[in-house]
Amino acid sequence: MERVVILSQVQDIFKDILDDEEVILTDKTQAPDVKGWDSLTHIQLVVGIERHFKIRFTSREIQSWNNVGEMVDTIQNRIQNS
Amino acid sequence: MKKFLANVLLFIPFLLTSYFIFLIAWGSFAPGHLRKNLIYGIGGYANMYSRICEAKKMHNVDILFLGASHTYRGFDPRIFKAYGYNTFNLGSPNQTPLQTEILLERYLSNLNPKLIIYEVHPWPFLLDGVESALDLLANDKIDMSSVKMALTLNNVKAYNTLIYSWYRQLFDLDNGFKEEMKKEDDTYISGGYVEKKLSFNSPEAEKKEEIPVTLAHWKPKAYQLIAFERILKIIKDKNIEMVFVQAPVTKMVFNVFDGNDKFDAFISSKTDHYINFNYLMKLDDSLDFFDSHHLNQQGVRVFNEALLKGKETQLHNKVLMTHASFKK
Amino acid sequence: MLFTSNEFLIFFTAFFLLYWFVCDKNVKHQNILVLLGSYLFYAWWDWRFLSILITTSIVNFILGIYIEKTTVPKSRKLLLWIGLLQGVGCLLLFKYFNFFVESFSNFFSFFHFNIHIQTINIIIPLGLSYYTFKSISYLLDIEKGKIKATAEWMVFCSYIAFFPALLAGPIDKARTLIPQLEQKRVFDYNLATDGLRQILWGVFKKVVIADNCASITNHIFDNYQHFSGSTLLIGAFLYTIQMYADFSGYSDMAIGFSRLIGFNITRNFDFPFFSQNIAEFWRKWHISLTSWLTEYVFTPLSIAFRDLGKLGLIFAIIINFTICGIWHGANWTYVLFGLMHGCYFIPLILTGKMNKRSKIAGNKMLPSFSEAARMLATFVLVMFTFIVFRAENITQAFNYYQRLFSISLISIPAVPKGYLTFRTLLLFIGSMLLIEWLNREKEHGLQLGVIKGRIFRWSVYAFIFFLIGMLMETSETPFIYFKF
Repeated sequence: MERVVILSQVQDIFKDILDDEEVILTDKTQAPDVKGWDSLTHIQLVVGIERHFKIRFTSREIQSWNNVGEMVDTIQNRIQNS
Repeated sequence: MKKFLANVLLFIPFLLTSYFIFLIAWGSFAPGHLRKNLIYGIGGYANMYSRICEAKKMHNVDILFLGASHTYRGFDPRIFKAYGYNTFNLGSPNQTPLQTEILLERYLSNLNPKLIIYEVHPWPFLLDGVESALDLLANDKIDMSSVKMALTLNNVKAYNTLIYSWYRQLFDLDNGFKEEMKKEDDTYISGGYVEKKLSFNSPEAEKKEEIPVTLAHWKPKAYQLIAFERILKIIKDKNIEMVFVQAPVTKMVFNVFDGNDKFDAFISSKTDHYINFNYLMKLDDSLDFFDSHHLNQQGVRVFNEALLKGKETQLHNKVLMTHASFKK
Repeated sequence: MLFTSNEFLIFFTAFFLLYWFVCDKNVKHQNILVLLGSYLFYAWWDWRFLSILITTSIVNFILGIYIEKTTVPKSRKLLLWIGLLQGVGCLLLFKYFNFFVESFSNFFSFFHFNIHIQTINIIIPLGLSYYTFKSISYLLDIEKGKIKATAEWMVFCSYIAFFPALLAGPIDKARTLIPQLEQKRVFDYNLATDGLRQILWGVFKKVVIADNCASITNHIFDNYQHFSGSTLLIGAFLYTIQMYADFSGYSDMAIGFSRLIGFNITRNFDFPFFSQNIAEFWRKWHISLTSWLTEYVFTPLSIAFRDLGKLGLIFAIIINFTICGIWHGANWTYVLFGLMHGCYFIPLILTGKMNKRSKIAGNKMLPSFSEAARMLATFVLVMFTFIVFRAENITQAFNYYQRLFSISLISIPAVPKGYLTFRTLLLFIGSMLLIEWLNREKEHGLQLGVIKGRIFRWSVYAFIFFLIGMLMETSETPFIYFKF
């Protein structure tokens, strides 16, 4: 799957879960940049992404991302390997 | 760094000055419930003010009494007077060796007694002496020995009271003070004694009374022992005869303390003239006391007469007589 | 050596002068002094436990290096587990062994099995819970690749034993304190003077508020069966204030002393009584512990339970707070304390408000009515948990509640007199809360930037000093007994 496609799908998941149509994600976006993205919604977002792409992250991965780009990298890796 | 140190060094004198000013303002205007650590009780609850005033004027007595409440409530000058002795009672509430030493330094020369009777009970050696220090600071002059005492105690109450008392004396603010001679059930009797309106110790009340654990074992404070040694030296240097006495208390209080043997041995090691009246007298725990360890007037009479003419104390009567006859 | 004792004053003054005037050449000298000072400080309390502190430091230092060196994930995990076992094992042995044994045998004797396991008579090494949490976080962070292991044993040992925070926190994470220990500290005038202010405020809270509260609450809690419900309510109120004043006061002193020697350590309290819900309360109360638990307990758990949705979060928070509770000590009361707080979170999780942050009262002087009401409600919720926290055991806690909620709740309270009367104490509690309210956006309660003019500012400090002198608890024999 194209990286851009993944990013846009992730953005839709964010919009849906954070209930905020204004969310715009780039590779460099970090949690503080997005209103409502905190440690709790983070887990909801993760669950949403896992269900959407039918993948499963490890606990380490979930805690390791520093920005959206790194998260998308992991997603892409997972999809390719599965 | 220089700026920091300079400011700290500047702040210290600023702090001390302001503390002094705040303390005076607080002492003068703040209501009592805000003055937790400033206890300036002129007069006190046992007429320390009047006692000190008298001590200053009194000269050449026959017998001087020293000690804590067992002293100023235990030796009635009127009874001794009846036997021909002029006496003065320098006892005060909770007086510990630390204060006894200061009082001796200040008043021994003008009181100039022939004999000293020092009521020794273990408790004053176990106490820190803050309560009596405050009594003394508020009612007697402030000098270097007061400062030394406060430093020994290293207690905020003592420091605050020392400063405040010094300020009041400096400006003579208690000039018009007249102490009541009668406070509730207590009447001050000239010569330093305080007489309690006759009442009796009820064993029921005694049961409720809890004696702190700290007062149950012989663990004297180091600085009290040092002060005690200095007292002995002062008296020895003046070549004054001294008798150590332990006034009777109720059996309950006597037995609560588990170091009676040790304490007797301790005092006996310092003197040949020590009588523990708890072993000699058969007093009634209820009829002769007004509480668990203070004799009522009736008890005081029995005790003082035993001291003056009891068989057991003949040796000391001799001492008394010798010195009294010296004078006469 | 308490922070408020004369010995500590002398110790710290000597330390301060040596630190800035003798050992200021390089970071090594500074760290040697920090380490020696910390060990002296610890040995002053109890030299016997120094060996445990040093062993823990050395073991974790070596493990840290090897965890980082090893590239095989399994070996890394193994080394991490050795470290965790060492830390948790020490805690279990010293702090919880007897508790587990007794609970275990009580459980069986309930079913009429008599089991006799020898309990052991040991004293808990001071600060164990604090420095163990520090060493655990260090290893976890290395294993996760969040930080690098330090190669300097002196840095690591100083991190574990850092004396201002050794006995009661704040629990600094390695990533906040170790970088500061690796750099030479340079004296900063503003940091140092602010440290002094914070110490003064801490001493005031501890000595004037907490100690004077304690003289009343001890009496009420020890004889609760003799007091009316309304008095017990006041007892709980005072105890909550006391806990805050005592612990935040201590933390203020710890942070202040650190600042004087050039460190900025983790903040521990952020005016928790101005919180509008329990979640906010815990973001402001004992912050260093809460954030530790959030990072190493709650977050991993909530990830593990993520498929359960909100139920998963509830599980995670309950486990998290049970650990928080029992961290305070080996007693079922602390477990219950934690559980209660865990349960308080449930409505917040269900409504999704747990992480919602809001600034109270904005820039206005007073909070709005609903803000004030929420603040009060949060306080009351917290207050009820502190009854369990203070109780000797669960039975006593329940009896306390029972009496509190009896008909005598509607009566005029008869608060026993402590060193101060209740009314006087209320005056000072009120002043403390007011000052902290005014400074609620600041780092501590006494950042008097607003007050211009040095003389005036100094007078305020001097007056606080004076109040400490006038109202502190003094240790002389009570004047009650001899008063005749």
